[in-house]
Amino acid sequence: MGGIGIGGRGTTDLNWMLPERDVQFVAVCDPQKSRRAAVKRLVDAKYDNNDCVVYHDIREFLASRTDLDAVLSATGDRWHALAAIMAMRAGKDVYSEKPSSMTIAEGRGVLETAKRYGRVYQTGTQRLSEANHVYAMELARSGRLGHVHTAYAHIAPWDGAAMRHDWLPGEPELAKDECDWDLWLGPCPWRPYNHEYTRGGWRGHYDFHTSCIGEWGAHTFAQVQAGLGLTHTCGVEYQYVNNLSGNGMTIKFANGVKMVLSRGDQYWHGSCGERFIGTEGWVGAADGYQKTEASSPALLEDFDKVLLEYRARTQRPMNHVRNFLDCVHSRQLTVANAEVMHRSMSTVHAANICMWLKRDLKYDPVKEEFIGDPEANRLRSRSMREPFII
Amino acid sequence: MNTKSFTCAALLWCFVIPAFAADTAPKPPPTPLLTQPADKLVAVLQSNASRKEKADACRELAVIGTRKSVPVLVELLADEQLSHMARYALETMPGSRVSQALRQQLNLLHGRPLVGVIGSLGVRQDTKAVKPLSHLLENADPDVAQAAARALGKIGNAEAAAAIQAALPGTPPANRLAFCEGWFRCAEALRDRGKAKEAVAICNQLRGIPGLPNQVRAGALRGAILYRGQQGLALLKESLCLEDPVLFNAAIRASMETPGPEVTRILEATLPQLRPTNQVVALQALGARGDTNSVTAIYALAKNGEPKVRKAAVNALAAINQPVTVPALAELTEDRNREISLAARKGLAGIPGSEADAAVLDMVKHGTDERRLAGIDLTEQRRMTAAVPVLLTAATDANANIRPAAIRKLGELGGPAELPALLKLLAQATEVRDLDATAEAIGSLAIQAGKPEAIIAQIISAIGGSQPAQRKALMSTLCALGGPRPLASARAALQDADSNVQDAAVRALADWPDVQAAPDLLKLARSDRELAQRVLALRGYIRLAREHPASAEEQLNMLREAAATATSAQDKKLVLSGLGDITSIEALRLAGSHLSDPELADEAGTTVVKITAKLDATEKAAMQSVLSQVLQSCKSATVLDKARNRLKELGLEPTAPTAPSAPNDQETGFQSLFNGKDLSGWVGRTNHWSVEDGAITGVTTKENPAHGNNFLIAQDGDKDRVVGDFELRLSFRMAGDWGNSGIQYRSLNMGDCVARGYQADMETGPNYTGILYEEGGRGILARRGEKVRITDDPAKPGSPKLTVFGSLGDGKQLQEVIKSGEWNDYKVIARGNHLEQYINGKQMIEVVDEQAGKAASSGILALQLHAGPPMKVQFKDIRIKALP
Repeated sequence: MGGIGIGGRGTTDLNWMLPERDVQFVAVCDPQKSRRAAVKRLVDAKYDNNDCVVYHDIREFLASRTDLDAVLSATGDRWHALAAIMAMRAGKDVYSEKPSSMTIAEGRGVLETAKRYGRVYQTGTQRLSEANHVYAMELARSGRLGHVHTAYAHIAPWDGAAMRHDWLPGEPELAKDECDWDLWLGPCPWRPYNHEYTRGGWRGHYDFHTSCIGEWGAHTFAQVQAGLGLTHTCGVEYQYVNNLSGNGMTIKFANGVKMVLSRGDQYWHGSCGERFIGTEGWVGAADGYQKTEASSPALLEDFDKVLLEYRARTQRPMNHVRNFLDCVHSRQLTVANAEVMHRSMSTVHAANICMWLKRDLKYDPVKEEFIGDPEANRLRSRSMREPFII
Repeated sequence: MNTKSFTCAALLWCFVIPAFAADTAPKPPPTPLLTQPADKLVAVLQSNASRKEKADACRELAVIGTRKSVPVLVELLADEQLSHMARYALETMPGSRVSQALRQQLNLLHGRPLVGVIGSLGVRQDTKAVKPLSHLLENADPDVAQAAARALGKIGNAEAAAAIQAALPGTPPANRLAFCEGWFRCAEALRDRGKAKEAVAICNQLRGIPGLPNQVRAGALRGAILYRGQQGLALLKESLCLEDPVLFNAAIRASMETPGPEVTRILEATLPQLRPTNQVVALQALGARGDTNSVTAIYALAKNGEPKVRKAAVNALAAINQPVTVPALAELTEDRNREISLAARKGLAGIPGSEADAAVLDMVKHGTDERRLAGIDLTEQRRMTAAVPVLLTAATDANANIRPAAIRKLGELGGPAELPALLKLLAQATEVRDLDATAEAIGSLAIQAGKPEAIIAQIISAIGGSQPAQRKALMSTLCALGGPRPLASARAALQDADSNVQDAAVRALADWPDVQAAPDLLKLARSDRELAQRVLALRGYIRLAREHPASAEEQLNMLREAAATATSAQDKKLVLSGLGDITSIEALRLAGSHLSDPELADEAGTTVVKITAKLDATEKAAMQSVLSQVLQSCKSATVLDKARNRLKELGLEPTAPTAPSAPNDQETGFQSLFNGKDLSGWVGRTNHWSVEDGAITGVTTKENPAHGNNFLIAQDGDKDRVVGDFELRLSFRMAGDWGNSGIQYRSLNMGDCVARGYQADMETGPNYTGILYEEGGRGILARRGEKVRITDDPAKPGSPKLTVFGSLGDGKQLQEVIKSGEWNDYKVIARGNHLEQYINGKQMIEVVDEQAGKAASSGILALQLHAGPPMKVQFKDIRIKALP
């Protein structure tokens, strides 16, 4: 395996992967020297050698390392789709951090590339492989809650849906070898270098981030859509809410089921939660739960049984990285495959567009276009900066 | 993992965001996406506004720009600074005039701006651009030629496809992948427009070109199969039999994109012809299809395939997940190959429906002990309440191994209606295992039913009419229940005619789940009963004081009583640990009063430091005096350092000369992994792990059993700590009748707080402490006293061959250095493939692991909590040093 853009979150992923006995990590690519050096140190220490090769340009990295089976990509959000597409086109299987795309068009590109070249793709939405969440989703999916008519999805409780369009004060660019600013920006509009961006300060900026809705919605919308059995489609009606965050926005799916965005702790006590409401009760999970929570203890009695059934039926382990590696061998679809992620992220992007245009929207998930709203349709893609064009 | 994610999120929420806000200038507020009408935006572009203002105007025009803005934007395409932003506005703007203007730029631009315009024409799927783009395929700039090929692919008509076809043979190798991509896109677009024949032709031509990268070969075969529709099935069948792994995998992927029984039949038919590795992949694909008609073909391989194929076949049956797979899985649960039988059991556990229930009941009733016990386990895993009658029969089975297992499950699956039957079983039981199991089951049943008064009354009245052995067993039931009536009953049993019952009553009270038992325990501790009972009672009392404080004052009072009652140093240390939880001058003084006892000085010093760290600076005088006493009385360098630091923080001088700190050469270079206060730096299931007595403490109880072995995992920042070559030292203690734990090192995190790999073992019993065990892997690798070399067994590749090449002493004699129920020092040294484990300074094992593929050179560090009966294990002074 090789790595692309591994910083804080990526190191967590890497440490998750390194102990796997079928993983041999041999190369890392990053436009920032300090980051590639840090990953090399970690990897070389693990193998007690000096063999991890560093690259600064993803294009050179992918073209020259035809020996790699798979890559871990944990760049900033702006590069996720492009890096995944480039890597899959170069014949690699990809584990990419979330969110899987910045626009609907990027998500479509990831999905088509994975199919075109028969690549295995997984987004790092690890709650899809965690027992508490899987149980909640299975309960909703299997009809044990009766008819599930509403679901709640957690959105990040900081920042808003509106994004920053300001530039941080320009600073002299560093040497290309230290930090290649052109590569760092990749497909995004140019702006002057400022060191804050390169250490996480890109969050909240329109060009680089998908707002408080995407920050957690990239997880929770997938959790909700998986529980509703709607991973092949996305929301069709988006009801604008006149606030800063999208809190309380109702999104309808074609089958009439509603998903409501919620930012507070009304429906959970932990991060990245989801809750399903059916005619016979509710079930929900969030980070830090000892166990999935439900409207009655009876709904939790079959916890172990339901998970046994899920694992038998899907043959998926309760370990997101392991699920990816298993699929690299078996060529099966991962739990957070390109279709699941394109569809749930389409809902995220449409919700953002609804908030940005400040009006209700309707979307056709088959044609992948907004109905009767040309301006919204013009936000389905963003022109990528040359030469970083898919 | 849950806990970890929560910690990360909590950190982010609590610290990172406010810290970020505090460090830097306040963030400018977010702005709306749209700020001005289109004509104003155009005016900005025409003005001498800054680059930033013009870029912003372009971003808005991308949404609301009209044809009126086109000329101004087109002019900017040649402007290096604004070329991309002009395209940004134009690319999404409808209208043929925009496309026309962009096309005209193809002749005028070079380099990056040209690459950008090519990309935009592709996004716009501008068919009129096909001709000019075709010319660009031969451009000397590889970025231009590649962009043209991809853009032609997006347009994707027959003309575009022909242009790529014509240019592909002559293009430099560096461009080939992009050209193939463009051609693939043409094939996809043509197929979408109903021109499948043309799409197939492209894929076939790609298949015929030698030397293309593997992913292109895979994509070409996929397309050739899928775009043919029904006719593609023959090619699919043929391709599944190919030896080339690239093409076989591509065929499998194509099968996954084609639902329906025809492809399923093809997969089944080709199964027997495949080589084993491909059989495994095809079986996984078949399992995922979930077609019940596949069972026969899969079953054949489950019986006759190679071992790994057999296991994949069993898993495929499980994946089909329908009742029709039950007979096959039930049969395979009895397979002689243990891996197969376990996989089949796991599969059977996960098949919904009454057929699987019936198969499980059959397992309970007939066969070997192992089969029957597995069946009994499955009744609970499947939550088969309908199994109660069968379990009741098994509860009186002649076989002594079956009875307790079945009885325990009755407690899990039974309801109030089963209480009389369980009480009857209890009355008839003669063996201790049956008695204990029944008492436990009665408790579980009552707790699951919500502890209704009626049930509690029945249990208590049963005590009255029963024999001593039954009464004794029911004491643990009372303890599991808690509450006033069971407490009164346990209290009464202190006067029981039978001394064994009395003893059990003391134990029940010592473990009591609520604070109501505290007065009884204090009374017991001060009574003239035998020493063991008094000690138990006092420790129970101290535990209650720490676990269930009504208020800090109440807690202090309880600990004061305990301190006045304690006689042994060990019990006084427990009191001191408890005092550390309280933030008050009184607690500080009480702890300080133990500094003069040399046996307790360090413990008291630790407590003093802990309390002063939390006390308000207004209590300076008291703190100065007690901390100065610490400096005079304590020996531990850590305690002395902390006391000095605290004094320094408070701006105080010690009131008397300080004792020199004792240098400790052996300990240089060690990093402490445990702060003695909380579980910072560790992640585990929080219902089991906590810090008690200044030690990491893992506890399972009847009410809170471990669901599978689980682990407290050492962290390094926000990720798992990875250890390679190291020396680890810690102290451990295990209390109670049963317990099994261990230090997991160089291990794998399996998720959900489960680990696998090397384990320096420990237990309450006499067999395993000190040995090297491989959790979830090769099992026992070295017994106590053994020097073992591990190699791959040539007779059974993949299995370990353990060769004892030397001795460190007799295993039984080595056992004598291990102090039961007390603190013991463990040391683990791992260097390369060489592993050594020591307890209390005595080497227990030595291992050289040379088994390729199994030996681990690094991995996570974790502490084990074993599933099974209630247990408790504690760890402290955990420190590690990386070895060079």
